[in-house]
Amino acid sequence: MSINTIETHVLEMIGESTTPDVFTDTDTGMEPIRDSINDAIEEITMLTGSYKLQYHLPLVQDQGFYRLRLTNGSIGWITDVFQVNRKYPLSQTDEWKLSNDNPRWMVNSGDPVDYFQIGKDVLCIAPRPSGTSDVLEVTMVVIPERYSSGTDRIKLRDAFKWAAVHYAVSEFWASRGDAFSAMDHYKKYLELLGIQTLYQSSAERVPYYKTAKQ
Amino acid sequence: MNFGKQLRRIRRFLRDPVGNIWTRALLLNLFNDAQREIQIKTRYLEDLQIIRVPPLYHCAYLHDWEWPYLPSSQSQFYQALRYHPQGDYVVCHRWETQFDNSGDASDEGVHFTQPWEAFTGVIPGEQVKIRFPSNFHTAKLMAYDKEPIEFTDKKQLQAYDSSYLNRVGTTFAYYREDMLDNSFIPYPLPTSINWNDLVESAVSPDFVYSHSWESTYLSGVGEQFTVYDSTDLIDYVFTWELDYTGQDEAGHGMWLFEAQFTVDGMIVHVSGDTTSSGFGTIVQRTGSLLSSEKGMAVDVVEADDNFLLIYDVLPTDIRVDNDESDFPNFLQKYIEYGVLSRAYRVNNDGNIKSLAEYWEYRHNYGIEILKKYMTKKFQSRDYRMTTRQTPAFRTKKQPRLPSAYPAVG
Repeated sequence: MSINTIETHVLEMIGESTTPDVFTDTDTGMEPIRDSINDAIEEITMLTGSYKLQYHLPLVQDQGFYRLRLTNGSIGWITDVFQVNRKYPLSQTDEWKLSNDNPRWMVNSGDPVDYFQIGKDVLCIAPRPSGTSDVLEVTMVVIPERYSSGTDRIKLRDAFKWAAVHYAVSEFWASRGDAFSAMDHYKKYLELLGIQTLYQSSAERVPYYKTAKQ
Repeated sequence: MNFGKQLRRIRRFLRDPVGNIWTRALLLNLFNDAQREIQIKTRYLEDLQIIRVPPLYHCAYLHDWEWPYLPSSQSQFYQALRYHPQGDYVVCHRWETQFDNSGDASDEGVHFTQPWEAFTGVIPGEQVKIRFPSNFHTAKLMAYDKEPIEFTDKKQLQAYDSSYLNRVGTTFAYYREDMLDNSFIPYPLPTSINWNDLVESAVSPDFVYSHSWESTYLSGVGEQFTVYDSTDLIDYVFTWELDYTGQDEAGHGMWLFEAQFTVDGMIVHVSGDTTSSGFGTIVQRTGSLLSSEKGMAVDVVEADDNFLLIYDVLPTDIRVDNDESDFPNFLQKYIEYGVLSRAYRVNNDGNIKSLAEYWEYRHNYGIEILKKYMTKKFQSRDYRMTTRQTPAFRTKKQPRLPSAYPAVG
């Protein structure tokens, strides 16, 4: 049994690092701290979309709706869908646009062109595939599986490590009835999260408006 | 994460591990309240279902007072015929309400106690109600036979079609009588009914058996209702019996056709069934080559001649510790924050304003995060800003002169 660095920092900040007696060095003893850190990781991933997976979905003839199930983690949102054999991306749309453009979109079959997500785990593609010989490469943001052991991989960017620490410390003080300290650390978490100044995927790009005039 | 585990987390933050101050019943109610609030504010949960035609109900009743006596283990009840409030009795035909008079009010069509009777080739004399799923909140798309149908209202139908009750044909619209009754009425009433999905078995078995050796002692056609596991040499009903690690999502009946029915009578889970072509209900396939890839989904009940519905979900109320919220694991903490903020405001010995405000802040912030998260689901869409009455595409990219510019002579 071992605790990871985030847990170590949390224990240090709540005065439990030298002779731990409340949060013992076992999976059961560390469960409250791990719950808080897992909550923080999930929330940060929700906000930043920092963890993605590719999901290969074999098409089935005439099937338009697919329920996606992940073995580890939960589906966040779909960012890209690519048709592998014919090598083109599908466009994201919704049921209203499809119905407006073509009321028979559920009847027609062919090469899928559009997709949309329904709820937490359903993917709809249109038109429905006319064959089973293709595969869709679905890229999606995934909310990582909750870690349960000190040796499990933590799917959290290093920049957000201290944000997660403050999140857990905040919940520790809340569980002790100290709302003031809890709020103090929660504000620290929000500051360190730095939503306004996140690392951009391409910080060198400067967005600007331009007209279509030549 | 089931409610039992969430309750332990909540109690830890309440510092009331054995429920000296906040009872389980109170926290359970607060939990259901909190998860409903999140759904109403964010509309995160949505689902897709096929609604069968004709609809299936567990039983029919006539009077409101019958309701408390209906079997609590079942949930789909149909209020049949017509209740007459003045006389406190139920009638089939409208002229029956003129009991003390001439009884000359006109009536039309036949009446029934179960909606499927209206699809047996007769002309119905009353609205044929079809149930929405039990967790239905708001419709986003309704289609019949794979083609979208539109919502209308009863007044408009009555104005344009005086025989709207008897009209049969291809459904292109639907309306609702009221919001309390979780059902809709198709217009016109569909005539293409597929009865075949009621029974899957090709032959009627004479007996069912659990072990293959049993069949050798009986005559006739037998049907094995268990599945044989060649690895462990056992017969089992549910796949979780094989190892105690998983839950089987497929129902197993003693007769094959039973396996097709679930609580709602709409979504059908069949284990190891062959793929049918269609565009409707989704199930997770197990027990075949495709099923070894988690995430494969196939249609079993076809959308042909049935209704397809995409809708906002009303989260199912939690009742026991093993129940799980409809929200995914990563959102369940926001429900807990809502419970904590409410619990600390309850007028009992645990009323602490500062902690109530802290958890309320967390709860509200969580809802804001979830709203932001919902917008990210559309991040792959390509948006284009246009002005009104402008064609979708402008082919000529030439500068425009102001309208007051003098014409060239």
